[in-house]
Amino acid sequence: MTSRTLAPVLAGLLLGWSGTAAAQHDEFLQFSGQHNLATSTAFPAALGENGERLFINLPSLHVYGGSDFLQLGEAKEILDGGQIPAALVDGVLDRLDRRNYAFAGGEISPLAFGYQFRKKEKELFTLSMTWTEQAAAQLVFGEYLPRVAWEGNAPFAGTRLDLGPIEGNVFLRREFGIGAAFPILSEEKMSMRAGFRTKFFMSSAAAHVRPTQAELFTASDGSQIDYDLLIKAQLAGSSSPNPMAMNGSGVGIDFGTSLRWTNGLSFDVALNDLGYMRYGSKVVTRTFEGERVFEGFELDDPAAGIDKDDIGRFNDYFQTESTPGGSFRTSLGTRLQMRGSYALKAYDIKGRSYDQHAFHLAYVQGFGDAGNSTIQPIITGAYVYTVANVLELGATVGYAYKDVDAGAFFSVRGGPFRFGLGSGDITGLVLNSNKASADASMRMSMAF
Amino acid sequence: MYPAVPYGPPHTKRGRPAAKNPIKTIRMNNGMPTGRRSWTGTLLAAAAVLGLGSCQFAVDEITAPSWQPDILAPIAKSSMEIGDLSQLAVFDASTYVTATHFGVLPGVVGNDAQRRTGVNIGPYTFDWLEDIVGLDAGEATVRLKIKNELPVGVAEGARLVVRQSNTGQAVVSFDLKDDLAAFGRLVDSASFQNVAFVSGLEFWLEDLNVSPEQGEVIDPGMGMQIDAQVEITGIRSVDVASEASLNFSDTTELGIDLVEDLDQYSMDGEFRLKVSNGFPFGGRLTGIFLAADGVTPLDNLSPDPIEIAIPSVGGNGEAVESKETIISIPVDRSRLEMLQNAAFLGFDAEIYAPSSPDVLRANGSRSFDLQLIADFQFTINP
Repeated sequence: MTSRTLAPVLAGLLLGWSGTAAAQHDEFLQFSGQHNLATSTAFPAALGENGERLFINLPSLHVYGGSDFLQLGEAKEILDGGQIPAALVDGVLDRLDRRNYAFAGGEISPLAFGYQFRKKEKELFTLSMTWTEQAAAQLVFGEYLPRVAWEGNAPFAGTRLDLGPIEGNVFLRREFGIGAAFPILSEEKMSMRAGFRTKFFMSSAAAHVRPTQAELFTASDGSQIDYDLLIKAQLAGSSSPNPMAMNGSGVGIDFGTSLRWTNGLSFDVALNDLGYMRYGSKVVTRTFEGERVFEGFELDDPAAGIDKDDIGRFNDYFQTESTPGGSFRTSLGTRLQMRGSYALKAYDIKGRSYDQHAFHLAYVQGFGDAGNSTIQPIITGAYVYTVANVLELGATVGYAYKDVDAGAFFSVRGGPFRFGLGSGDITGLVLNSNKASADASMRMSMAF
Repeated sequence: MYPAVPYGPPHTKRGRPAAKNPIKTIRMNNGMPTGRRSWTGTLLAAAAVLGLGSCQFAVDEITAPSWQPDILAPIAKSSMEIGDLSQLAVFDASTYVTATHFGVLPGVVGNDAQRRTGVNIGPYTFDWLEDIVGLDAGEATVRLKIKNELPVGVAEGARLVVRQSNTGQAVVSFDLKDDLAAFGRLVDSASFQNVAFVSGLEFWLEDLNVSPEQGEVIDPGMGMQIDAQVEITGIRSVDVASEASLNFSDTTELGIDLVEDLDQYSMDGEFRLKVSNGFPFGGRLTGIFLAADGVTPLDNLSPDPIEIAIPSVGGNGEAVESKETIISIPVDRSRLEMLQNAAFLGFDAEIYAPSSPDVLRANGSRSFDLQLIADFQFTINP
């Protein structure tokens, strides 16, 4: 990667730690009770459960970034000091694990609608139409590739190193969703809903680095280096970026169910982003491959020495191929989301019931590392206090990427209008601690 | 071959000094990278900045620390087998045979000059390397070239015989395919499989049928120039007398253009020359780098003479197993600068055989392997 390419990536990631985003999933929409249409993007069955008839989501935003190896304080140290100290690099390397993550991304929801169809004031079903612009980047790499790059191969002589994984994905895509939710059971003490959302995607650009084979062995005496490399990257639309182009498309579905008990307990479960993206336009597949036991350049005449032509032959030991055309598929980032809640009810001055104290425990489990999803489990506990059915104050504590984080949000309603701000991980920003990620969310909506 | 350790054990890191100089600068303008950028980078930066709002940074450029990787890698290798010893592979013999050897006297060839049959001439000795007492090879090609200055023809049916000098035993022989005309030329050759020679080799030309041409004049001293050659390929073994030694000195021009590339790095470490000697001989090498005038010494190749150890030798004179010798050649900044100025490498070398057994055998199944390994800690400050 050239320095011109590397520079904005590095800068973007560093900026990500300094100001944006923690979890890849918006805690706000998981726990707020005021933005039902947004919440239904996480739990489809929740759509329309608040008794409102018309929903309009105004432009909203969620941005996030983070890693499980570079701490926020270190990122600030780099940005404040203008240099990367060697000790900092050593510290980061000591922290590396088998799989290390860096991610950044954002979602903008320009507009969304929902409407509840009723018969004799009783809900038949609720429909929604959503539009989301998504951008995400995720890099997964092993411990030994950066270590060898920084320390050289000599410290690892005698040990066969697995330099993988080397995985990554980046995408820009537009999501259009049509969702529906409906009651399927309504007992005296318990109700049950089901919901789904079908989604259609257009993507202007994507890059996908397939799981990589990369091994390195250096003999203890340096007499041979064995390597086995196969890196395959598939790119679509990267040569001439145009946000309006459609170089890939995809379909997906979210579905789930919710249970509500009159004693304040509730449980939601959803399987989201079940589907795939297919990129078939402006596709280039790049492979970098090499397998060899290298014992030095073979010299027919040792007295002639080694020259630049010999070094030039080193390129022959690797096959670099760039193949235009073809297509490739990627997962949408399928994940299971669950939420258990307990709420204490209260009544506002108009006599409407609302959850004054709500306690939540949520669990997100992805089935792959793909942009906005991860196989790293994310567990979050939340407490939400609602004042007079107007002001909602929430606090969250989560565990993700081997890191405990805390977040907070508020949302306020005035008539049909609701506005909220929140973050799933603000501790790093507030305490300048060793937190490794941050996120921020802004929601605006109307409901009638 | 090697234990598969998926995620290797903890290792000891070499100490390294604190950062000195930057190696890479990422220029930024108001927190955003400047210049052309990839869409992936733009995407990341945009996503970050969206949530960042109006954050300001104290610096507008980020510098990376100096980078000090420890590199351990093979650089070059070469393998020499006994079959590669081309200097052992060709033996020449050359002689000028006057007319009297064919029973013809100088002067005018009279009408009574008779044809002679069964004439043998020889022996004529091939050159031979001192201290080589035996050779075994997969193939030998014997060539014969005769330039006839005599008015004497040699009819078809003559034979060339190569014999061991000490025993007179014929090793190879072949019949000449053509006749040799008076004042004519003859070139012939034949190849033989699986041949073995001991020291001392000679050739004979036998069963010559000689026909003087009447009326022609033979001056005194006039004769035939005969050149013979034995070229051996696929040498399988070479026998050498004990305590034999071969000394040679030379000066070779250096073409180390890689040094120019290495000059931009600060490096400290050594080149390691790994020698694996499968032959029952030892060696000693002293090298000295010379300036462009070819005279001024700059530095020694190594602090001490390079010694190539002799492997253990069995009763049959063969090396029991290869003997490994590792020679360290320290290289640092000053030595790199010296190499840049060096134009020649002068060297004195000696190859010697041990004192016992009486005959040492270099076997074709063994080799003399050289491998150059680099072990350096670089400090990269471009």
